[in-house]
Order: sequence, then C-alpha cells, then structure tokens
Amino acid sequence: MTDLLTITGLRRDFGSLRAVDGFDLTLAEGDRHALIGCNGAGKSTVLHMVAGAVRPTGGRIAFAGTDVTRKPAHRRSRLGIARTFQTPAPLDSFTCLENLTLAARPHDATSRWRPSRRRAALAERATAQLAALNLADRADTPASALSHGQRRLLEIAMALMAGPRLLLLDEPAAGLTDADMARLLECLGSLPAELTVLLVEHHQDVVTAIADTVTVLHNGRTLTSGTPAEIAADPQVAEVYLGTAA
Amino acid sequence: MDLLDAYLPHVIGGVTYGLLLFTVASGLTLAFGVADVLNLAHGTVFMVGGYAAYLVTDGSWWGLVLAALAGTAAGAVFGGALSGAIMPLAGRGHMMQALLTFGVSMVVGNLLVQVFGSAELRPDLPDVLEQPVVFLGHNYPAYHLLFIGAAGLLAAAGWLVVTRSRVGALVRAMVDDQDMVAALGVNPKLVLAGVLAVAGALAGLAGALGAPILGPSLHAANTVLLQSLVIVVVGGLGSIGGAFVAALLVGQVHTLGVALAPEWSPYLLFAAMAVALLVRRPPQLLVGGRTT
Repeated sequence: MTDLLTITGLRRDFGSLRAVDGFDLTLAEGDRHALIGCNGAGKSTVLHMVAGAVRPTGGRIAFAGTDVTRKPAHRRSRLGIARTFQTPAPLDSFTCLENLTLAARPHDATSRWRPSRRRAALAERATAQLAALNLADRADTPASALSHGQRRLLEIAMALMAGPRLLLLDEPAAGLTDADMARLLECLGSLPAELTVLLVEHHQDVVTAIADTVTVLHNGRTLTSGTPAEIAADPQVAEVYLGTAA
Repeated sequence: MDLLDAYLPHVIGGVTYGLLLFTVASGLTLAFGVADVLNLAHGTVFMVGGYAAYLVTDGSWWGLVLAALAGTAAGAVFGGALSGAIMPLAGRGHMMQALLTFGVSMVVGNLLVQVFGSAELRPDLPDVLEQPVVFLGHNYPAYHLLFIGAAGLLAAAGWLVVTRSRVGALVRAMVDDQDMVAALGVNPKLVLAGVLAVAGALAGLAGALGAPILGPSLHAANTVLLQSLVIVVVGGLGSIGGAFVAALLVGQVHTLGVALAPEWSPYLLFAAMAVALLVRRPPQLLVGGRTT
C-alpha cells in the first residue's frame, strides 16, 4: 500500500499559543483514521491545515507524492482532498441538486465541447448520489430549507461528487439527532473502500464505527495512537479526558 | 390620454436615465454584495469611461464601438484595480474603504479636470444619431433610443449570466460561502477579481455610452455615485434585480418627477428612497444579499 498523506512535524502558532506542536501522521489509501482529544487539543487545526484553510507555521504536508504545504485550498481540492465543515455549509441559495452539480463541475473530466451531454451526465450522477442518501425527494428543495442532519448529509454528498481520494470530516456527528446519526453512520459505512478518511470527532460511537486507527491529541501533540479498542482501554487517555493527569 | 402624451417624453427620458444608472449601480451592488467592497470612486470610474469615449470617437460607427470597448477596458482596469486594492480593508469596516476611495475619487476627478478642462466634452457621434427621431408623436434624440436598446440588452444579458450560467452560479455561491467555494476546487480570489473587474467595466461602459446623455464632469461623477448609492440601498445590497427596479424608479423621479413638481425636485429622490425603504420587499437576485 502506498502512502497517500504524509504529515511531518506540523506546527501552528496562534500568537503566542502553540495550537499544534510537531504533529506526524501517515495515512495509506483506504485508511480510516480518527483524531480525538479535548477541546483545544489542536484536532480541528490539523484538519484545517490539511484542507488548506489554515497555513502551517512549520512542518510539511505531502499528498499523493506532492508537497501541498503551501498550496491554497482550491488547489488541494483539485488534487483530491475533499472536506466538510464543522457547521454544515451547503450553499443555501441553491437546491440540493444544484449544490451537487456545482460541487462536481470543477472535477469533471467530460468533454467541454458537449455541454448538454455534460450537464445531463452531471445531473444523473447528482440524482443518484441524492437517492443514495435518501434525499431524492429533496432534489429541488433549497439547501436552506433542510434540517441540520440533511444539510450534513448533503455536504458529505457534495464532497463525494468531487471523486476525492481523501475525505476530511470535521465533527460530522455534532448536533445530530439519534435518527440522523443512524443515517450518517449508514452513509459513512458505504463510502468506497479505497477512499481515505480523516475524521475529527467527539462521539465515541462514530469513532468506533468508522475508524480503524485513532490518534489522541493533547496540547497539540500526539499522546498515543492505536485501534479504537486500545484507545478506549488506555488509562492515559482516560486521564486526559477526565482531567486527572498526574 | 393627453396628459400621458404630454409627459411621454419625460417617461422615455426617465427610462434612458434609469438604464444609465442601472449600468453603474449594478456594478456597485455586485462589488458590495459579492466582494464586500464599497468603492466610492465608482462615479469617477464613470467619468473615466466618458473621457475615454471622447478620446476615441470620430463621428463614425466604429468610433462608437471603440468608445464602448475603451470605456469598458478603462473601467475594468481603474475600477477593478482600485476595488482590489481596498478589498483587504474589508475586515476593518466599510468606513475605511469609503474614506480611502472618496479621497481617491477627489484626487483623480480633479486631475482629470486639469487634463481635460471643465467644459463638458461630448463624444463625436455618427450624424444620424444626432438627428431627432419621431416616436409616438414626439421627437427624441436618436441616440437616446439606441442607448435604451443597448442598455436593455446589456441588462438582459447580465441577468442571463447571473441566473443561468455556471459563472453566475459561482458568483452567487460566493455570496453564500467563500470557504465552501474554495473547498469545491474553485479559486475564490479569481472569482472576486473577476467580479471587481466587471463592476469597474460596467461603470466605465456606462460612462462611455452615457457620455452623450450625461457628459463626464465632477458633477456627473458625484450625481451618478449618489444616485447609484440610493439605488443600491433601495434595491437591497447585493441584489441586481432590486437595483434594476430601483434604477428605473430613480430615473422616473429624476425626469418625470422634476417635470411634475419642479419646486420639490431636490427632495423627491430622498423622499422616494424613504418611502421605498419603508414599504419594500426587495426581489433578491443574489439571495443572501443583505436587506438593509
């Protein structure tokens, strides 16, 4: 298996605060990895740096053999890094179907010289994607009219329309009802096997269901990493979470 | 009927002037709604377009086409560059942008007057456009009717681009969420640069094609800016459809209102703005365009 994402010595300072302090991570194609830790541990900052939304202060991020450390977000998206936001961010003034076709267009390789065929192909893919998420009846609904859970699913669908190799999920389960959570797990469970997923999450259930490996961040550094079962049994992790560190 | 007939020339004049203002104001509202840029030198961009038209027209039809191109290019360069330069100030509130561009407009405006003189410089139109044309029993300057056609086509084309094209969709998406646009793989800075260049180009084009109606001068720059700001506020910030309706309204107030109630004319525009602000439910083309 080849390495898809290689993060070495990643650092980020916000003023005098060192949010991420020498973080390393290597992910291979098809890996499902979760970053966990308390608030302020630096999980989301790592995710933002991989997506290109935050510039690293130091360190290096390589994706599929390319150094992307200094590349802006849209270039990384073109290379195959897709993301979702902590607050679901589908484009409110567009319908669900429009959101998906708009998301697919920059990554679409169909001939430019056949615009009508291209539009039809995109619409077909978008419709199939909506059906897979049980949103088929919402195709013509503006994204602003969706529930929080539906917006989350739509946002993940938008990310998938790009045909990414790496999917970054920033707390996908935050604020979901139990029913929405079941749908989210179903959606994430049916992701293509070759897709690499890097997930920041608080919910233990989601981490256990999705991730093969887990990294625990504490004060911007890796505390430990292992399988979800190992992490759950690690007394060090419990100490950090319960605030009883020696 | 007689009353309508008597005021018809004012109504047509108001449509002409309203479309002129719409061409300027659509750029202003676009730059504000999408890029969060408030460029108070927008009237000066109009002035630059007018002088460009004066310089390149020679009485031929080609001269007129060239004037449109020159005004568009000059507006895109001057207006686009200025707006781009002040975009980083957006985080410090619009007052910084307003003060800076207002200063630039005074400096550039006075420099232009130094160069071109304070007399109103009319572009040299083809002779046939200088002749009056009879329309519904009244004489109109042929150029005014041509301008209504050209500006109307421009407005229709702009509407189609914003509502139907992929570029338009990206521009509207920028209003919703710029980070999301970047995450989808589109360079948001490129879209912003394009919007600002188009906003400047529209003002320059309006200055060039509008010069035979409202020639370039400091007074014209101030009037056009003030009325465009009224249009942007009445139409809803960032709303092109709203700006269109508001521009036609302001055009009517400017001509018909003055003809009907000359003694009230200095106050009519602002009275109309107050009424519009109280009653309007703006049709928002760029949904997410702010409403106050």
